[in-house]
Amino acid sequence: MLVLGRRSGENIRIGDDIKVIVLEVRGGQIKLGIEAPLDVQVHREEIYERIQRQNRRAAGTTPDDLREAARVLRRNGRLQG
Amino acid sequence: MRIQTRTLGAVEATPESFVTFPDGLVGYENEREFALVASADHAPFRWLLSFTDPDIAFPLLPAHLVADEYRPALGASDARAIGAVASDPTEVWILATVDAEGRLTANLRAPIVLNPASRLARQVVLSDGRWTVDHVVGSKTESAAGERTRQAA
Repeated sequence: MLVLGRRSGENIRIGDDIKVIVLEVRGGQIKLGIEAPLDVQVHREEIYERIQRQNRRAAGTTPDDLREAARVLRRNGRLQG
Repeated sequence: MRIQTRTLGAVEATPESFVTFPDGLVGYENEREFALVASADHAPFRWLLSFTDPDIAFPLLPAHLVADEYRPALGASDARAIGAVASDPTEVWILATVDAEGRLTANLRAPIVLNPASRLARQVVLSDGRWTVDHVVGSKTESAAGERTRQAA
């Protein structure tokens, strides 16, 4: 891992088109600005992991489970629209 | 066109159902080509099926069935990624799961936004922490309560 020391207002460049800006350092918290191309998705790691896990669960849903869930939804009248 | 899936077998998909995710989905960045197909058995769900990986079949719900007050804001860069501007009409779909307790949950934090004109879609990660990845849509207990209400009315 590359380790760089930066002060507030200083930047890091990753390749030609990603820029990480140290906006503020206060107490134990650091505020970063990130400029990156559209196709580079930037997320907080814990949120990214939660969504990844949930996507994996969604992909593992069995047709049987879904048939039952669909039956419950239809019974509850959530079918309009 | 026929799509092979592990759990649903061979599924017929028409070109109108094709959807391209230019950036994939979270954790599935290399999966770009999908079909969004209906199945009478599973309505109102639809299946988002990968063309290339028979193990990838995501159940989706239209957002309005999940939460009435749910209006995810589409940022300019998200809109651009699906060939739209923020004011263009888009379809919002929610990834659903059935958890170990049999509860139906919906990932409201990361909805799928589809531009029906371009058939491009993106899984948008909302910064609004009000929306969770496992919002409980309904459970057997809830449906029993729903039936009681209807009988009373």
